[in-house]
Amino acid sequence: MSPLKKNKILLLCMILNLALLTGCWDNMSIDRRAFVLGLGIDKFIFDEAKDDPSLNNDKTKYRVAFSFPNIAKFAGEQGLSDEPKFVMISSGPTFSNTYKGLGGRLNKSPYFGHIKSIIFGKELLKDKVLFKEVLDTLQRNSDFSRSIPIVAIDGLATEAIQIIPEGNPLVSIYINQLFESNKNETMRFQEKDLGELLQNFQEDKMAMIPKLSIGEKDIKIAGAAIIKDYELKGWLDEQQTRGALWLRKKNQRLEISAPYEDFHVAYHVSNAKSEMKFMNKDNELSCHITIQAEGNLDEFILDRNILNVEEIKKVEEAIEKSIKEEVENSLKTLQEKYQADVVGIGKELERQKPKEWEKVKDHWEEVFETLPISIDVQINIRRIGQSK
Amino acid sequence: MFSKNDKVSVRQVEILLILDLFSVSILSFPRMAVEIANQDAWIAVIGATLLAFIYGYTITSIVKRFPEDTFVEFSSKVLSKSVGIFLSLLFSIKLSITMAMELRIFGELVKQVLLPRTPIEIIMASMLLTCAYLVRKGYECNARLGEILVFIIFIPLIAILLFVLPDTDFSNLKPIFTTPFPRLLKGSYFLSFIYTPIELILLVGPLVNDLKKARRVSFIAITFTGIINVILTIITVSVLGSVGTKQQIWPVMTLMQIIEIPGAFVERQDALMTIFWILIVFSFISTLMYFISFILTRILKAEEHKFLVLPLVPIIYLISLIPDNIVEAFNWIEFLRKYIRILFLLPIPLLLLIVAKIRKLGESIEEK
Repeated sequence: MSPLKKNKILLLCMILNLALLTGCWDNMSIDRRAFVLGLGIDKFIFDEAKDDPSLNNDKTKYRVAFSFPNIAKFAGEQGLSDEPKFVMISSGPTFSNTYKGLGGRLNKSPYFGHIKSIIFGKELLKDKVLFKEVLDTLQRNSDFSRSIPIVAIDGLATEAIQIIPEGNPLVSIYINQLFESNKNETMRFQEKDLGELLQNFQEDKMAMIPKLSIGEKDIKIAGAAIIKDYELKGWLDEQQTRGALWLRKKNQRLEISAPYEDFHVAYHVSNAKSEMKFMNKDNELSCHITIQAEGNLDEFILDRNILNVEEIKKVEEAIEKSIKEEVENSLKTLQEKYQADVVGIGKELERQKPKEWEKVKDHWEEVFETLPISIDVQINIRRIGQSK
Repeated sequence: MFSKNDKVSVRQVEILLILDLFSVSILSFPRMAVEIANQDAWIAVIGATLLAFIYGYTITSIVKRFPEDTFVEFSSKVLSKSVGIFLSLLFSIKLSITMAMELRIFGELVKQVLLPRTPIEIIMASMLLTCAYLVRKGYECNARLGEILVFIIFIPLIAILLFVLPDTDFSNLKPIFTTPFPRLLKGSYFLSFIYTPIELILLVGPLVNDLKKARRVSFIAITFTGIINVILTIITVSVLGSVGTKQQIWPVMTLMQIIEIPGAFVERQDALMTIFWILIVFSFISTLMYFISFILTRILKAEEHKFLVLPLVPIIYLISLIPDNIVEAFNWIEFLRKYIRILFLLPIPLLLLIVAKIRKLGESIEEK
């Protein structure tokens, strides 16, 4: 074979390569993608007024709302529509089917890599089987990032998604930002992301999910849903949540008010920590919790001199008392009403005394219900502002 | 370019070994470790690393006795020709199956994370052909590529691990030492097979210009890999918790999804991780491919290994497509791990060493 001929064949090969090997199965241009920003997942409950009668069967189990931003509007262009977002509601026999079923109704392909938050409806949380199915999908599909914030709502998630809050028309982003800006700044709720939620269920079979409430034009996250064994047991209000969070959160910063004489004093906690210790006296397990906090006094009584040690001591005691009551009240609710150890006492026991834990592991619920817990709060006032 | 120049330096062997030890298992070994020892997984990994030193010691002892030979020649010399050939064939078959399974898992993962609509056959075939191209150029070329890749792989990897630190909760590692000792020992033995690629030193003899340092090199590679493996296990368990780690097929992948690189608008870091991981797999698969063709060359006493590379491609490709799904592929690997991997790590080198000492074969190099 002459070199010339060889070259020609080589050239032919190269051209063929170009012709045959270009393109890519997964190529997808960005404007053909619909970025799902929020999910609201509900159990399907047939509503005669609105729903297609054909859906009224045993197979349809989910009703899921997907919210898409109107990208053109955010880019400041004159888009075709004026809405800040579009919400599509789809129903289907499994959670995955609902979003695969969007295909016939959406002119783009949905993409879940950028979800900002997921809302679970109350009915879904009550249904053990469905909730487990949803969690499995969220864990199995790698599109769902493990850092998505999770909230629960005492109502319909599909409705919550459609609210247009004044601060930011996109509910899902709003929730995400609420989580971000309140990190360690509030005790109204505990931020939960998907990864933590899955971990809670894997390890303790129970979890707290922050509770979302919706108003006309705004939303609020406060309180928590108590979920035990993949089933909704009940709700904690703000006060109770705060008490429980004293034990769970680390270095939180928050405002506390405590009654002092006829007034209320305000105290700003800048750093707090809690410690658990376990005692075992003649086979009676008991738990002792120490909460330590330090911070500044923000409000005191006008014309009263606080610049002496006794006064400071008194104020500290008053604050300690109010915190103690709060925590005790929450623990009582958790122990007696729900028998749910969502504050991680069992886990702490396992870490400190594995042998003790082995004994009570199998009937921890009953043990927890009657576990004597003593609480000791130590408050330090570090700063008092600029007046006497 | 330097096709006849098939001598590599000690440093290059070290780098290649490190790359090979970081094979496919890097993404899943924390799960195996946790399945064995729950939150004590890192202890099992340390145990496995110590066992790997024993393997390394045995293998380098036998290699040093026969500096110009590969496994094919010295096993023939020591245990008669027919046995040697048989063992070498077994060795090459084992390497082929390992390679096919690595390739399969590589394909599965890339399909899952990066290219969900691309047929797995295409992903695997393109990988194989790329490797074949590299392997035809010889071992020395492979080594030089390794020198470049090692920086591209490890600097980002270690940087990524630093970003995970804010998410760690080291109390997940408590309580320590709850696993019974025999179980830890058994677990260490099983885990020690993530260091299987040490056996490749058996074949490296005639390719290295300074074989005296072989033991030091293998020990350095094992130490480095061991340290990173232990750190990775600790981080994985402290981020995901021991129960969470068990539920993930590729826990390290999940770890990558959790991290948030500050200031970067990157949502799917796992895709980023896959890219570095592809480079690791690439170097590993090409090394395996080279050595399979190398064994065959030595058995056939051929001059060049080039002609044996391309016929390997369809064979490996077909083997890797036999399992129906990832579960079956894992079963294959499990089978390899249970019965076959240990053979070339400890019993066969030890047997060769003992027989060689009794028959006074080979040169015994003084320890330095």
